[in-house]
Amino acid sequence: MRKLALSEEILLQVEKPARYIGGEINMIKKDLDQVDVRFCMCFPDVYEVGMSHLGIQIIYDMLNKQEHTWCERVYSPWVDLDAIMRREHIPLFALESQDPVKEFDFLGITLQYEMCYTNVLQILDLAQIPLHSAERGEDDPIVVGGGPCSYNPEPIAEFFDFFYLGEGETRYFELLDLYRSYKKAGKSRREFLRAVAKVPGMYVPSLYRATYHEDGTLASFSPIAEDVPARIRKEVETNVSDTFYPEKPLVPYLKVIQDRVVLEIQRGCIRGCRFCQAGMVYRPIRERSTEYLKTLAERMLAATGQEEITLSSLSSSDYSKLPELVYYLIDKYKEKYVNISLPSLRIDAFALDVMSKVQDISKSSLTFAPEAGTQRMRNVINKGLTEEDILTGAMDAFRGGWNKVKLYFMLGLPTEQPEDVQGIAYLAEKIAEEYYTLPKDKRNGKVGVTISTSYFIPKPFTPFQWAPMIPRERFLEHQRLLQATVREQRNRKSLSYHWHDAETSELEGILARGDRRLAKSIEEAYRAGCIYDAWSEYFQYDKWQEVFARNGVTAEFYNLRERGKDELLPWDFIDVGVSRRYLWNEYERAKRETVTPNCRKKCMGCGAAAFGCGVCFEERQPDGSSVYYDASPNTAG
Amino acid sequence: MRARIRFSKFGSMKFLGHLDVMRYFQKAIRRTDLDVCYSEGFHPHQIMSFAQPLSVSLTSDGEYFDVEFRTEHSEAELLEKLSAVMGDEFAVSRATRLNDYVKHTKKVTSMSLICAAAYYIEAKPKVPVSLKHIRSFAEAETFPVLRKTKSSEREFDLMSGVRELWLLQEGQPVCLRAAEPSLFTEELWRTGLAHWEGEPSCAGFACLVDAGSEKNVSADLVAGAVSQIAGIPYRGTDYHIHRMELFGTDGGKAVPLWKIVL
Repeated sequence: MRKLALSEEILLQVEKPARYIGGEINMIKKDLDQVDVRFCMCFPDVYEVGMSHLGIQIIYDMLNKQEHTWCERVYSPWVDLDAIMRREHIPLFALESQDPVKEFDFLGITLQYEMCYTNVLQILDLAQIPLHSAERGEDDPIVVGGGPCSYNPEPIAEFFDFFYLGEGETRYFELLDLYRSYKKAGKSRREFLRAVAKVPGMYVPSLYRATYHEDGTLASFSPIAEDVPARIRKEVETNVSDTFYPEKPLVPYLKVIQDRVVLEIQRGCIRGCRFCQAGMVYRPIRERSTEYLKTLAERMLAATGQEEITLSSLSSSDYSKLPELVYYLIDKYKEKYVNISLPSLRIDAFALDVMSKVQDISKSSLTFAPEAGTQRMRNVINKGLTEEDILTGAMDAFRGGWNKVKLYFMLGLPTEQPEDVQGIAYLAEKIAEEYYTLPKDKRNGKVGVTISTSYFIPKPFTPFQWAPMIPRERFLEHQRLLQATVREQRNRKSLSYHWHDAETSELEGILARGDRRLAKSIEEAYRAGCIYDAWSEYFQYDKWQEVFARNGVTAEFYNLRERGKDELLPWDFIDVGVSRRYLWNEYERAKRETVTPNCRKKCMGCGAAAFGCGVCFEERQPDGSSVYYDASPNTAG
Repeated sequence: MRARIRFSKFGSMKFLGHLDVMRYFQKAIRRTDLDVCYSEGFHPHQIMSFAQPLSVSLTSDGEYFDVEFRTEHSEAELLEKLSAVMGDEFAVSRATRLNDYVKHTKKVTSMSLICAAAYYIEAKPKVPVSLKHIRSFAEAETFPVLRKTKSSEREFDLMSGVRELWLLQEGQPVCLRAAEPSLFTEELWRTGLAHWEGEPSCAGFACLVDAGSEKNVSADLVAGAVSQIAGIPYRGTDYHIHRMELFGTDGGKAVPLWKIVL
């Protein structure tokens, strides 16, 4: 039997023991005698969530291509095993070798959402690695952070040795070579980190100091030595059609959230929605070539036996050859019964045709994300979806046999007025009314319109990074107003309303735009027993409130105030390409309710062109559309 | 064509539940180029049926599923193609071509054929169960046990469902309780323990028990009885339990499922 870190007694006590045994199809095993660097990649949430993440699979595949490196995986032990590991002092282990994580050279943690921060501490603690970078010794792993939350790493900066800012494809080999040479030369951890700071995209928090004004805002943020860069630019993979991508993805035994092959068709987004961090930090949009994607799809499906493939991107409809790719996949895999799923698709004739081919209309619902209820509000957030688009799309879908519509909105958007909130209910009502304009024999039973709202949270590197979040009481008021308005509608029986919890959002807001001083509270919340904050059944709002009160952390300071144009923001030292000037300009346009055209219609000079790739180098057509061409170094010109 | 596949599940795969095993084989078949048949409808699934779920924590050399293919394949081809896509702790050991369905007759599945199962059960080191306890279990005329179902609890005689009991001593089978003819053939000892990872010890024994929809005796109940005789509370983790084979009824006789072509 393969070596297992946990005894049979323990494995049979916990829920879903398969979370901890590894051994999945396509798992990489290496001979430790042939390996110089041991890297453990971590997604700080439960296995089924972590295994659904593409980024880790890309890095796992890429690092294991290096003969001298063995990359393994670890996920957060579920609460049942967490208690046992603490009680019996079992060190956290990696799935592949089942060896303790503390024996590794690197522990890489991906930060996909702020609510995982206490889980990061759980990982370090269970691994028996000191929580603070400053306390780690020569034998402890180097702890690296990456992923979207590293665009404001400050609240958790002291728990990490360094952060990799941007896309993982570009610098890992350089880092590994550096590490090997330093290790061979017997140099210290401190010396290594000093060298890491000079690698583009790398942020070593211990080499920077922050000072604060009396009002609590940041006064200065600067490197402690001259040879440490003051500004760090995110890393970008410029040629996404010739890069690392797992052709043999892992196949979990357990049913995971994303139990399918994931084909990332493009990276970035042209839309420029003003609330969306991904839309800004992944700029510029870069499409993978259709040929590359076809080859990847074929290899991944053959190597995994998965029965579904999902085309992933921030806005699939913007992929210029989407029909070609989708019809190719449908035709090619019909015989093999491969399901094709297309999230984030704009509803149009093509989308409806594709959906009627790939799903059971009677069981599926149509999803729109207008995000706001009135045109005014949608102009503020630059969501270029009009009421007409929605109504036409819905009507086409109703004619095609659909009768269920899901609508996603945010409450608490900047400048929001009661009319905007009520507008959500009116929009839902109009959709329901549209349905009943169909002759009775063309209808497919009753219509169902579901409204979901979440609490708008301003994020770094968006035009709303300066904006106040509305107070919780107002948010709840708006929720009640919306609920009441929904109940007043003629078709109220066809409308249903779901809302997202306000308490988690408040914490997420504080962590998203927080600074270094929050680390103490995060640690205290963890010590008080907070883990799995992203799971509502484990979220302990009262404990967070207690800790924040003790440390003087207030929603007023972090969430509710509007930040000034000249205020130094904790994440300002990071250069994501998109400039602060552009973001401020967008913030002002938002207040003026002015829409900004998408990247293919008009270039607004956001700054992302500095990366020399993607949409910024497409030829724009006189009619405003653009023709995509491969912007790889060989062919661009 | 229809085929019956015999497979082994061992090592850390003992921690997978039945649904995970089913999903594993569906994906495994899709990694081959075999033309497996799918059901009709919007959510087509492979025409595949498993003989009997194996509880988590058990290993086995006697697992089965039936599957249909659109065209003919030799048994050797099925075995070779499936073996090529197995994980390290799954193995396919037999592929049997089954008779084609006769139209308008009831479909026979491996599940409906099952009548008995053979297990090897071994107490783990430090568990105070010895040969003495196993022998006194074998000598019992009756052994009343409580069987709990969702709705009721009823007593039945465990011994009425235990057909054979054997020991392995220095590699040689020793019969404690026999049936005529015995199903513990040389072949069963060889194929049933192919992926057994313990070292057959003096606190281990093999048994043949009733299985299937009419009367099913789980290996757990047998191990529990031995614990009871040893005077210790039963804990599932005290034993390694390995399913050696599943038997079906063919012409009134019990034979390993892979020998039945129905």
